[in-house]
Amino acid sequence: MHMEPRRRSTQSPLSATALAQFGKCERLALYEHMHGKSHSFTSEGARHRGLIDHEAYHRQGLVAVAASNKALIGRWAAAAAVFRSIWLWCRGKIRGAK
Amino acid sequence: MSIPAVLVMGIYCIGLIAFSAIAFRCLPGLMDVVLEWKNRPIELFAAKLLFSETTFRTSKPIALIARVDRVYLKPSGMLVLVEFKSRVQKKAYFSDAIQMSVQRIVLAGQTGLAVAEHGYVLVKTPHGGNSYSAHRVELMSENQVLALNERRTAVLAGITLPWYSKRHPMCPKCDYREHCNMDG
Repeated sequence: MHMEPRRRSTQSPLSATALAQFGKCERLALYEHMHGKSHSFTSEGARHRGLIDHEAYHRQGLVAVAASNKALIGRWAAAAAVFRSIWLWCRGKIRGAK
Repeated sequence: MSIPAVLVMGIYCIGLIAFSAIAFRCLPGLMDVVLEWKNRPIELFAAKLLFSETTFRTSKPIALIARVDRVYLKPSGMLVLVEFKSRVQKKAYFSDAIQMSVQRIVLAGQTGLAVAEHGYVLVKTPHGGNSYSAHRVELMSENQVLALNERRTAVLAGITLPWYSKRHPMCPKCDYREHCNMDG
């Protein structure tokens, strides 16, 4: 298990993630405060997968923010999303009936 | 309905389907827009996406920093927070509520706008494809967040003893389980 030395100073603002981690497990928060964040193989893999998913989610958001100013594209996309949902729902119903 | 009218309608429908197929193929960004709409919680269907992956800071009541995944502006003028999570189980945890409560304080502090007392956690599972499940989360009050921060400060300073995790399934995967067992 590779450890990073503690770098956080007491003067830095409290991050939402740090407080959330404390809420998840107080002991883990204390260990990471004392010994630094762990970088084991399993946690690194999960973090990497999370980053990839987050990147895709972020890209969707950026495009959506840009498109929200273009009413036509926004409405077209909304209509397409609704039609797609209806189509998937109908397909599920048909498959369920078989 | 006359035969020419049916023909025109048919050609129009085929053209629309062809246009849609070409648009999905040729405009990669369009699929992102559709997915963004599709994965919205129902409450936010009429809302406008205001911020995406934006960092906010505030100095009151204490120095806080938070990076919000998405902020939607409802037609009523209320901001609603949405947090994205990639995890195996389709559920929101208490830690999500804490994180979003801090985000709420920071967002309200920096923008001066009203932020809803609830938010949404969008969970993407490994086998869920592009469909996310939305979970409504009630957020903590400012006083509750400050009290939690005081406890955190006391625990990190060694004044108060830390509690074990309430969510035991995470313990076997924890990198510090050996330390934790030794400490009792």
